[in-house]
Amino acid sequence: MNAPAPAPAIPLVWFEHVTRWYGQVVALRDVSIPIAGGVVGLLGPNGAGKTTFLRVLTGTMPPSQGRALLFGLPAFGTPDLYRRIGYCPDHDNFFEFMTGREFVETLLGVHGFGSKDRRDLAARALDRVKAADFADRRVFTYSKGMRQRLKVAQALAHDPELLILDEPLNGVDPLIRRDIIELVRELGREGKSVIVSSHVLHEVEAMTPNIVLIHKGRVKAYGNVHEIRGLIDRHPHSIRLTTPRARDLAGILARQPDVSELVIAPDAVTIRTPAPDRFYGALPALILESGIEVHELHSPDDNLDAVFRYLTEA
Amino acid sequence: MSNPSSPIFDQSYQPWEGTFVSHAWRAPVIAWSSMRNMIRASGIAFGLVYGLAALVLGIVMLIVLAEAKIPSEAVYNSFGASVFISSLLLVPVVGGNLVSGDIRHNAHLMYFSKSIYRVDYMAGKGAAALLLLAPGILLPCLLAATFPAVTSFAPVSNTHLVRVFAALLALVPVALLPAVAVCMAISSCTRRAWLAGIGWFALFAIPWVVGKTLEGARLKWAHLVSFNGNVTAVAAWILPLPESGTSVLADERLKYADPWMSALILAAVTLGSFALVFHRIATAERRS
Repeated sequence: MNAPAPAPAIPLVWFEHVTRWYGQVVALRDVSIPIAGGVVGLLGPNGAGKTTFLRVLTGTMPPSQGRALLFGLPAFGTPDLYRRIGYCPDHDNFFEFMTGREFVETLLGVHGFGSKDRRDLAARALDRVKAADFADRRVFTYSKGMRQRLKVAQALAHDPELLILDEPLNGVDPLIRRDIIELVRELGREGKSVIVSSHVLHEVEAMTPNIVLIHKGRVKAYGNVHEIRGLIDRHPHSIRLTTPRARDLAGILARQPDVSELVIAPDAVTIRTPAPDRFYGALPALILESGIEVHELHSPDDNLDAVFRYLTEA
Repeated sequence: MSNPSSPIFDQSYQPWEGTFVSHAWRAPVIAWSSMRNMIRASGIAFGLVYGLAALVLGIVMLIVLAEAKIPSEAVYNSFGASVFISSLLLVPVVGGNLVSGDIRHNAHLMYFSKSIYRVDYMAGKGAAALLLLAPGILLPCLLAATFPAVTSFAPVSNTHLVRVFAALLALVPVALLPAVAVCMAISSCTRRAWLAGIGWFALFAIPWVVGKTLEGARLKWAHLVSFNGNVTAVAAWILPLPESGTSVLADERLKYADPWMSALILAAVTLGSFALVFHRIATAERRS
């Protein structure tokens, strides 16, 4: 008697020739990719099609052509499937008159959780992202970092199998950045799957070695990040730090060996570094020691764009 | 094993294992959160409070002045007035922000990445508006119905009173469903709540003026032009006739000889508006 054939493994995400356009603009072009699971970074410059990719994946937008499958089922028009995913969109406009706790509880209710479960799950998720202290304040009083934590809390609260984070580190301060990176790594260690998008290679690299490169709506490559590390290092990395004490911060940063160039503006300092890994590693301690308040950390994607141009031309 | 130095990882975090409530509970959750948001927005809260207070006061004054003797006729009179005021003032205040607020805050992404259908969303939003607006019509009419029954020496049977209250409950959705649907439709076409409010005001006021002008010209179909005219025509037929004595309602029924046409117009406007909201939500959802 023949042994039964093993059941074919269903990828977590399966895009088959997915194209998506908005009027005359093509955001995704014939994308075909399986994503098996684990922590995966979706990397590409602004306007590459990352958000469209994630919107098609979360079923909030249908593909214009092709098939997008999530857990083996069509991603669009299958709401019961969405309980298995947690989506953290890139925008941070919320229902401003709710408190953070009400916001998370309401979205749990929309998922179908009962009132007691809503309270328990929301409290647990808010604790986990260190948002419990401000959870009972109205959302319109929140800073960018608080909003970011709240977004992650609502995505985590129902304990989804797959977490989808769209630019979760965009514009947040170094301490929150470190927390979110740590959270993603922990989720990966717990066996959860996470797809996280960014236009900064070093952010993604801090979370996972598995990346999908997307540029001008096409998937250029997917696999291990180390294969393109050499490319990115040829391009100095820009980092902009927003702070009310720009001159003081510039004085401290100028003494760092990894800073090759420095531009001071009234409310920000922009540096360029050939060794971003070392710089990102040292930055939280530098800021804590100096006591200077840094509101926002932002990495323009011009360096990544250069790598993509290189890849495209190659 | 978790990393103990991790600042936000809680090692006690475990997957949740439990049951889900019925799918029908999605709409009430959305309704409750929408109502809470609308009431908390201070401008809307003030508008509601002052609007309702003025409405109740005005209607009670009207009743006293008219010396109405029979509950169904008192309700008929106050119904017309309260529908007029609540539609003109409260619908744009409550309805303007219903969908436009969500478009403005990109809330569709939050809602539709969860396990709900668009119908659940619309039902929740509609229910929120109905619950906020219904007291604006019900309270004055209930006062109007009970006031003559308590003060009048004319005999009013309990059966008649019960039928009046039942008719009143039926009339609230007749008046409010089309108003809410149209206001949601306008609200779904813009991100700005005040623009939606002005849109509703124009849609309500202009046909009303045209209808009144045509009525002056003694055209029998004049009431079909305006929202208020159609609602009044249906109300005249739904409210029970008094058991004895002369009846203003009987005369009104003669005036609105064909209430089905009004009911059909209101139903068509309601369905058309909901279809537009459905379409607009889909569009906003894909563009946000």
